[in-house]
Parts: sequence; structure tokens; C-alpha cells
Amino acid sequence: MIAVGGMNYDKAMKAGVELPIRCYPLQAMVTQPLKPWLHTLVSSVSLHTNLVQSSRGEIVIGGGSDPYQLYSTRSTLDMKEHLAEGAVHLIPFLHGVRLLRQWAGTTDMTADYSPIMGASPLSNLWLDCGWGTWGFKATPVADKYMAQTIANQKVAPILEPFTMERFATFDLLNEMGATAASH
Amino acid sequence: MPLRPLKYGLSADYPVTGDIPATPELKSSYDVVIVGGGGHGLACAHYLSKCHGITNVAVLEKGYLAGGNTARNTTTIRSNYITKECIAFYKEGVQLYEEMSEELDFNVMFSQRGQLTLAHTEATLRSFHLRAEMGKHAGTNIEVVDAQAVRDLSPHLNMDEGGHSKSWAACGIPTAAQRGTMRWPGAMPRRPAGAGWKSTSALKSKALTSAVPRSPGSAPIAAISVPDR
Repeated sequence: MIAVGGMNYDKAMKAGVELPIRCYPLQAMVTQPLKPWLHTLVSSVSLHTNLVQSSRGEIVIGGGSDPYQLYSTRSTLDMKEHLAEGAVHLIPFLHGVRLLRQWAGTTDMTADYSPIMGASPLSNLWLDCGWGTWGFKATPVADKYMAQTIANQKVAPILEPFTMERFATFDLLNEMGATAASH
Repeated sequence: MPLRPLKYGLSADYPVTGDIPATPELKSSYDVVIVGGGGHGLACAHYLSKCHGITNVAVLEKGYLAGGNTARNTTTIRSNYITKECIAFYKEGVQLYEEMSEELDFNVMFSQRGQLTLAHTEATLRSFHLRAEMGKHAGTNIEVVDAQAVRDLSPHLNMDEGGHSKSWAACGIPTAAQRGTMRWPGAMPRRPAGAGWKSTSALKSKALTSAVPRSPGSAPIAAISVPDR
């Protein structure tokens, strides 16, 4: 099974399988810790910003992917300004709060903002790819059924819609814009 | 404490060797080989052994375990998708997270707080209605709420500014969760009067106190969100 996140395209190419995936950086950042006050997750589609307060009290600020393909995981000033602007707009008193860290990761995006799971064109090579910016929340459920798929050598019914074949048959699962832009 | 990083960098504890286990001698064959030791790869190995009795498994990792998104995501766990295939799939994902600490006998610091997704335009609000109806149809918790409810739930939000980004309404998902918990006494979500939030609190306490998985459709309906139209 291939499950290497941002390197899925390259890894599958080594086996001769070209995945319909393009890789974009996704950035996020956190502020200094504050006392707990933000009790819900807040996101804004228009501002491409989402906010949550971590267990350590830091405000975690995320948004959409960078608008260009790249494998570098350097964080950029552009995105820092953009995320800060959205955060301060939503919650003005954050303007005096200091940033602790900013980071980036590589996301393997698909055209319909949904993952690719199940069989590949090669026998015994299984795919758990295309998780883009939304893979964390699906970690247990995706691999509960990938394990079932591998054990039974048959794609679990709940995973069938996520087949790579859908890009050839136009049975896409369009999930763009599920929250603050991609995510 | 500006000298602290320097002090740490010069200490014998640096660089940190981490918890990376030594690479064992690889066998000539395995029943399953998983390329990638992130959350997904490790979860697959876990379920292979737990549910299917397959323990002759190799997980190959170039860096360190769970060093990608698992270590640096923004910790949102939700099921507010729009196609019924995805809603069903992610809904089970939320349920598995609810049970994860119990299953692993390890505190994964999961807390359900609800999520507000704000609409700033009529067009976005229309898309929220579609999303909320699709979600309810597929049995997940999602409601469109008005601006007053947003103020009640999250009084710090700037709801009053005019212009293009005034917040009109929000789409709320009471069961959205964050992996992370609140460690301070009295830090649990406050309970403003409001039926929606009461339901959310009920759901939270249920999730925390019961090991019995909620059956689909039994989730309390609560709403969080809201905008003045």
C-alpha cells in the first residue's frame, strides 16, 4: 500500500502508475498561548481562514493551499500576512498577539477534493492517496477499510466511490469548498 | 528568555535523537508492505493486526513516524461534506475518533466543541443551506444559524463590521471536534441559554462518558450558527 502523503505521486510513478494528483503547499501558524476563550472552531469561506484554540492555548490559524504547485515546505510572508489579516478581521483583539510559528506541508490534491483509495492498475498495489488537505480527520476510517480491502483482496464497499477510475468515468465526488477553501 | 535556545543548542541533550526505533533487519518477505509511516500507514497496520489477524507487516518510513500532517495539521475533525458518499465516510471517521482513546487506552486529547463556518455573502449562505440540507439528509449534524446565535456562541467574533466581509450567518457542526483537550479547570464550553448549545453540551458529555458508539442517526441535533438574514 502506498500512503506517503505529499510524495504519493512520485512514489506511484516508481511503480509506473501515474496518479491524477498535483502537489501544493499548505501553510498554517500558531500564536503565543492565551487563556482559553475560543470554544468553537471558527472558519470563514470568504476570508480563507480558520481558527481554533489548541489545548496549549495557542490560536492555530489555517487557510487555503498556496496557489501554485511546489514541493518546498518553506513558509511564506504572503501567507503569513493573509492568515493574519483574516484572523484579525474575525477577532480584532488578536492584533496584538504574537506569532510563535508558521509551517508548511505538501498536500497531494485531486481534481475533486476527494481521496483516491482502493485498487491501482497493478495487482497487489493498493492506494491510499490524494488526501490533500483533508486526510487527518479520515485517518482511522480510511485505514480501517483499507486494512479490510487488503485482507480480503477486494475493495470495501464504502471505499468504492473513491476509486481512481472515477476520473476516467467522470464520477467525481466534488467536495471543493467544504469549509475555508480547501481543507 | 532569549538565551534559552542557545543554552539548549549547546547542551548535551541536543540534537534530540527522538523516539525513532532502530531499523530492524528486514525479512525477505511480508504479507503486507506499507510504504509510509504516517497516520494512515500506521492505522492500516493497526487494523490489519487488530481486525484481520495479519501481523507479518512491514511499515517503511524514510523520516520519522507521523512526521507529516499527523504532526502539524490544524486538528479539525468533521463530517460536513456534501456528497452522500463522503458524508457517510467522514461521519464514521468522527465516530472512530470518539472511540479512539478508549480503543488505544491512550488519551488522544479529543474534544468536541462544534464548528462555526461563517458566511459573509448571500451566495455563501445559499451554499450553506444546500450543505446543511444534504448533511441532515445523510444523518450528520449540521445547521444554518443566524448572526445572533453566532454572537451567543462566540462573542469574540467581529460581526459588526460592514463591507464585503460582514458575517451574515454561519453553518454549524456541533459534532466537529478538535484533537486536543482543555486542561484548565472550568474551561469546558460555557452553556449560554439556547437550545442548540444545550444539545451540543449533551452530545459532548455523552461522548465523554459513554463507551457505547452512537448509532447513526441518534446523534443529537444541535445547531450552531447563524446570521441575520
